[in-house]
This record gives sequence, structure tokens and C-alpha cells, in this order.
Amino acid sequence: MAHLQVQAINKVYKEHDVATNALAGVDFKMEKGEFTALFGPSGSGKTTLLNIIGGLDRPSAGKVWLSDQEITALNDSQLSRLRLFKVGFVFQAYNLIPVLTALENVEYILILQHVPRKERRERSIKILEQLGLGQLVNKKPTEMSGGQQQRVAVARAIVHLPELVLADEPTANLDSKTAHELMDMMHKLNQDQGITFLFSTHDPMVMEYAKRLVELKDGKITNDQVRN
Amino acid sequence: MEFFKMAWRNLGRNPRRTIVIIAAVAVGVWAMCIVGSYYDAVSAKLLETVIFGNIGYVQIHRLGYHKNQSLRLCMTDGAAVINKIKGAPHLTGYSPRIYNFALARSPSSSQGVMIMGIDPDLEPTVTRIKSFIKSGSYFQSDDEPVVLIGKSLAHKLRLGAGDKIAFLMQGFSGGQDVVESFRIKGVFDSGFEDWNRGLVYMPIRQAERIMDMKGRLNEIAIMVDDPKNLDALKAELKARLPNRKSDLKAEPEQETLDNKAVHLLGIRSKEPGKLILAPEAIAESFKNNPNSELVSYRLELPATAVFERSGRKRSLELSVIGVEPLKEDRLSGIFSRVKVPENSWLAGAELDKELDANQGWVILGEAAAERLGVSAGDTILIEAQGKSLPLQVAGTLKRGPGAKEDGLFAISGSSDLWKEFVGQSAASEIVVRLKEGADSKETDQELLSSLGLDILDWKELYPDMVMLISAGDYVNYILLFCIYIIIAVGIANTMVMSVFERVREFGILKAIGTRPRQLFFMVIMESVMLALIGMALGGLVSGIIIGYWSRHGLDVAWFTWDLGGGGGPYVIHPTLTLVNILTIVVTAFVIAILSALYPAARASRLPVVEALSKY
Ligand SMILES: Nc1ncnc2c1ncn2[C@@H]1O[C@H](COP(=O)(O)OP(=O)(O)OP(=O)(O)O)[C@@H](O)[C@H]1O
Ligand SMILES: [Mg+2]
Repeated sequence: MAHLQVQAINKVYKEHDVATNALAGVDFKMEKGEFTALFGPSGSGKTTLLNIIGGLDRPSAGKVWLSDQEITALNDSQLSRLRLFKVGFVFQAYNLIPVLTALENVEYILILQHVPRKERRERSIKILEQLGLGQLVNKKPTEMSGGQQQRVAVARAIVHLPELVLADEPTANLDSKTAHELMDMMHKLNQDQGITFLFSTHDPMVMEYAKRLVELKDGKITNDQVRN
Repeated sequence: MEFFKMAWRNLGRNPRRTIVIIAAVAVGVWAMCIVGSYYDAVSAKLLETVIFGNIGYVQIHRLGYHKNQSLRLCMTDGAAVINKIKGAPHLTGYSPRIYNFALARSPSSSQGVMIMGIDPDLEPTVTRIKSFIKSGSYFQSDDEPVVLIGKSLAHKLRLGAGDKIAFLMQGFSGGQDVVESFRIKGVFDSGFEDWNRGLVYMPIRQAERIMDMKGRLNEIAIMVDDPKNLDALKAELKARLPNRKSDLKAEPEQETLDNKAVHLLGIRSKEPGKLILAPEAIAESFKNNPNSELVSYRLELPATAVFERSGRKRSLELSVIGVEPLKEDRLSGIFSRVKVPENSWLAGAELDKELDANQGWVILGEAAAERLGVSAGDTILIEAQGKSLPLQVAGTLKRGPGAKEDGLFAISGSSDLWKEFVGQSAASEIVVRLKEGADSKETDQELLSSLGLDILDWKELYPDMVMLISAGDYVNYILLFCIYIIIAVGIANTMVMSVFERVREFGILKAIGTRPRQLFFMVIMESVMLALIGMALGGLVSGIIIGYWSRHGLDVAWFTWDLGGGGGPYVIHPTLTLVNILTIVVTAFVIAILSALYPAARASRLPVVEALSKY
């Protein structure tokens, strides 16, 4: 079985008796170590799909497995655990907890995981330094640029070595230079440490980084190609 | 732990709002402290005014006196009671007292007052009477015919120290009103309007004399060393003054009056022939029984009747029975059966009324009259205990009171008899006429057990005071409640706003694996920290202010209307007790938690996907 398996996912939103099919029969598989971009026009269902894969939302129909665990069968508490231990999230912006420093933001995940104080501190500092963010350790999000915040967010998303990192338009709020820096960093993590990434984007420049491109339109996968 | 740190730092995110709410909590706590300690102090002051002004901590009375303050409901042997309580542990003072209603008169006006006979030396061991004197001076001895009057009474009667004041009152044995003038030795201000207007102090020897109360007391007020020991002292007094089994017995009697059966109870000493002294006191107790319709007493003495006419002297052993004519007539109806000769001035008169208003009369049993050979209008001598009393025969009677059939009896006014033969008021029998339908078996037990003593503390004596104090407490509670509500609303509002501003943040926290209850806890912690800081600040400021007041006193003269407009500088010393502080801390804590419950629940239940879509 594939590392990630999405099977016949439907997601219907009902608003004022109008039903929107945000996802209409998505079948999709990913293996460990992939670096895959999800693209498509606005409203095509990218965010919805990522939320369902990450256990933030539930599909109207269909199943999702992540490393042999059927996550669509989990209850809220189990989903919470799944997100804590197996998934890393990077959102479009304002990812960080404003009252915590970069280090504390990264450390936060490990605190929730009850990692002993000394170990979690060392691991967090190590990740930040590895990613060239050593000078940000004691800075609060308000003292960082948008690009720095996103990179710290990536550090937080990988500090606990998740099975899968989901990034919903991580570069959307960044200028192209910073976007490049972020994508370089993610790419390097994928290359060097084999971390599996699934990210959505509109940006062709970002798609350039992807090893595999999946196109979504009106809630359906219309194209799925591996790039060389 | 991490959530404490985050909660703490979150307080710093909107410093203005945080400062405002902390200030609000501080002001609230400050207000609670001030209000709480202020009311405690006012209550204590009020209590002090009343306890040290007049009532003392405990009072001893005849049973029933507290409800029916009659001069006659007295302890007939005051000295015996005092001897028993003297030296009780925790007792630091006692004051024997006599109370009587009187009409006080000055040349310009008159006013009903309560005369309080006090021992000039003992009263200050219970009350602060000496310090109340505003002009003139306190009593120097028991012997002076002087009084102390309150300033409002002085004002009303337009009298001052040195002036004369007259009192009109009834003495212990009733009868003629007593009128006597006293010089005003001093004018007092007790700080309590009722007393300033209605209380007159008189040396107890003077009161005894004019009210015929020698050896009798209405009240003994008692001071305790420390209010903590009040219950212990009360228990000790009760142990020292057990309500002994009465040495009286009650026997049912029946009379027929106007063809109706009348149920009577005759109360006599268990020892045959022994007289009951000061029967007025006992009769007064019996009157208070709801089943009693009428109480009277009879004094029966063995005597010799002597009649001398034209040198021929006859004498006869008989029983002479002293009665109260008006009442006796309603007990046994004897006066309607008395034979009065046609030519007597009493013929056709209402005999009981005429005889009640006159002295020196006797009614003889028919047999006795025959043996002595007397008829109405003659004067006989009644001799007993070496004394003799001349009485004029008003008429004759076949059957006497208490069904005396042998005819060898004489009936006279009881006061004539005890004055001549006993020297003080006395009775051989107290007769109670029961109300129709009253159970005589039950009532006799009730009557006999109503003769003991009553030991009551200030709370039992003046439940109004307790009410007043607890009314103050209620005002206090209502105020505190309002303050609590304001604080609660303030905190809740702050927390709701702060949660709604952070919806996305909570979404992120939840998305990356934070549990709902961890978010709940974090929000509650923020609220508790707000409250704690506010409490600490408020407590500090209150502590300083109240500390100052407790040392220097707080003049609340403007507040004295609450005490009836009593006078004097009125300074309270509020203090913060540990209980006050703990109550405030605990309530503020609870309020902080309660008012954050809703925002915390909101934060913890936010749907993640929706929360993440908010920026
Ligand atoms: N909570 C919701 N209620 C109703 N409809 C929704 C909700 N969330 C998403 N949709 C609808 O579902 C569809 C897919 O939305 P989604 O956000 O997944 O698209 P997207 O590809 O992420 O778009 P974008 O590029 O603008 O982020 C859209 O038509 C959107 O209007
Ligand atoms: Mg989207």
C-alpha cells in the first residue's frame, strides 16, 4: 500500500440549500519522499483536499490512509494525535504563535509530545540552525519578516519528523526572492532528509520545484505527471 | 508549564485592555475590602453601643419578664441569686436592677419613662454609664433622692442638672399611685435615642423604697470577660441557677357562679400552713399564662375574734381569710351571697366594689356571728400573733370562699391582714380562674414551671439587634454581589474579546495538535492571572487604607442616623480579618474562573477549518 492513499473522496458543502462539490471523486496516491505540488485555479479544491489529508476536515465520502492508518475512521481526539505526531503543517501566513519566540514555536510541538525539556530544546535549536535560522532563535514573530516566519513555520513542521508535510500555498504571501529561498529550503529537506512534501500553489515558479505535478479542477484531478 | 507562560504573555498583547481590567478588579477588590471591613466595624460599634450602653452580655430575669416587663415579675430574693452567680468564671461584672414604668413630670411637660434602679457601684462594672454623663455628675451614694435623665428627656421637659423632676408610678403591691420628686443629678447621652428619651436612672435603694421592692430585683445584667466566653458563662450561670422544683402545689377546685361551673386552681405551699411571700410576683407569672383568666390570692390566718358589748366579752377561734374583693367575687361569687341588713349603708350597693375601696371591714360566717352575738355595724377585734386589729362587721355569710362550710370564719381585705399580722405581702393560697375549656392538669404544670429564672444573652434578648446587624450584612452582601457582577462582567468581556481576536491563532494551535482542554485551560489561566494581579493591587491599596483607619479611626458621624440619631463623635476602627481576606481572594478566584468559562469553551470548541480561514 502506498504511503498516502486517497480513495474516492467527495466533499460537499451545503450553504442555503446550495450544494457545492468542493471535491468530486478524488483518487490519489503518494509514496515516501515525494515532493509534489497540487495546482489548479482558485476554488478548485486544493485547500479542501489538503485539510482532509491532514485530518483537519472530514470528507463527505471516501477514505484516506496515511502509512497504513485509515485516518477517515479516526475520532477527533485520535485526529488530534495524528496531526501532532505524523503531519507537519505550513499555512499560507501567520503560522506562528505571536507570544512565543522562534525557538519556542518550534519547541511547542515537542512540548505537546512530552519530549523531555533538554532534548526538545536541543532538537529545536539544531533544526533552526540547520535551516540557517540560528539568528532568529529568540525573536518573536513580530520581529521577523514574512519569509523568516514561513521558514520558521517549516522548521516547526518538520521538527518532529512527520510522515508528511502539508503546505497550503506557503509562498502566496512572499515576494519571488523569498519564495525561492523557502522553496530551496523545502527542496533541500526533501533531498537530504527524504521528508515527504505535498504543497499547493498557483505559482509556476514554485511548480518548477516539484517532482510531480497534480492538477485539480472543479474538485477533480485532471492531470497527474511526474517531472524529470 | 508552557500554557502558564503563554497565558502570561497573552496578557501583554493588549496592555491597555489588560491594565483597564486589572484596575477594575483592583478597584472591585478594594471596594469589597472597604465595604466589608466598614460594615463589620459599624456592626461591632452598634453592638458595643447597645451592650456597653445598657444591656450587658447576659441578663437574668424571672421567667416571662422579658416579654412582659412588669415590676411584679421580679426575683423575690435578689441577694440569693447574686450570691450564687458571684465569682463565676468569666464574669467580670454584674448589675442588679429594678425597672418600673412611670410618668415623669416637669412644670412644663410630662413624658412616660422607664425608671431603672441601679446600684451606683455595680452598674459601672457592666455599662459605661459614668462616661455618658454630659452635665452634672454620676451618683455618689445610694442615699440621695436623685436621678439621671437622658438629654432628650431633659430637652423635652426643659429640665437640667439640679432641677426637680416628679414621678408618678405604681408600686409592687399596687393600690395608690406613688408620687415623688427627685433632684436631677446629671444628664446623660448614651448614644442611643430611645434611651436618651425614655430612660431614667435612680439609685436602687431609692427605687426599692418608693416601689416597695426591697430585696426584689427585675434584672441582673452581666458582663463577660471576652465575648468568646459568652456561651461558657451562660452555661455556668444556668448550672448555678437551676430551676428547682417548685415548693408549691396546685389543686383543682370548682365553684358555681351564676349557675355555671368555674374551674379554679388553688396553689399552696407544699408545707401545710406555710405562707407564700410576695405573692404578687407569682400572681404576675400566672397572669401571663394564656389559660388563666384571673388570678387572686387569699391569706388565711388562725385568729381569735373578740367581741365586747355592755361589759360582756366573747371570743371565738376562727379562720380569718383575707381576700381581694373585686377578684374574689369573680372567683367564688361570695359577695353576692353576703347578707347585709336593710338599714346598713351597704344595703343595695355593689358590695365587692364598695369593700375594695374601703378598709377595716369584716364579713363573718353566720355561725361565728351567732356565737359572738354580733350583727352588722358592730366592731370586733381580730387577734393573732399578739396583735389585734379592729374591724367593722359589714354582713354575714353562710359559706365562705374555698367552700368553708363550718361558719367559723371571717373575711376581710387581704392587705389589712398582711399589713397588721405578717408585715409584708403574703398569701396562703393563690387562686387562678381558668379560661373556659382550659385543661387544668396541663395548666397546673405550666403554672408551676413558669416560676423559674430566665438566663438570656443579648442575641436572645434583642433579636432586633441581631436583625439590624444581619440587615447590615445583607446590604453588605448585596453591595459585594454588585461588585462581583461588575468584576465578572468585566473579565468575561475582556476574555471574550481576546478570544475572538485570536480565532486564527487558536485554529493554528489546534491544527498542530493542541488539545481542546489545553486551550480551555490557557484561557482560564489568563483570566485567573488578571484577577490575581488585580486582587494583589486592590488588596495592597485596601490594606494600606484600612490599616490607616484601624490605627487612626474613621469618623462616621454622618452615618449615625442609622443608630437613631444618637450623639457623640462616632468613630469606627475598620479592620481586615483573615476571613475577610480569604473570602475576597477565594471569591475573586472563583469569579475569574466562572467568567472565563464561556470564552474558554468558545476557544476550545472552535472548528479548526473555519478558524484557519480567518485572518
Ligand atoms: N466552508 C465552506 N463552506 C462552503 N463552501 C466552501 C467552504 N470552503 C470551501 N468552499 C468551497 O469549496 C470549493 C473549494 O474551495 P477551496 O478553498 O478548497 O479551493 P482552493 O483551491 O483552495 O482555492 P484557493 O486557490 O482560492 O485557495 C470552493 O468553491 C469554495 O467556495
Ligand atoms: Mg486554498
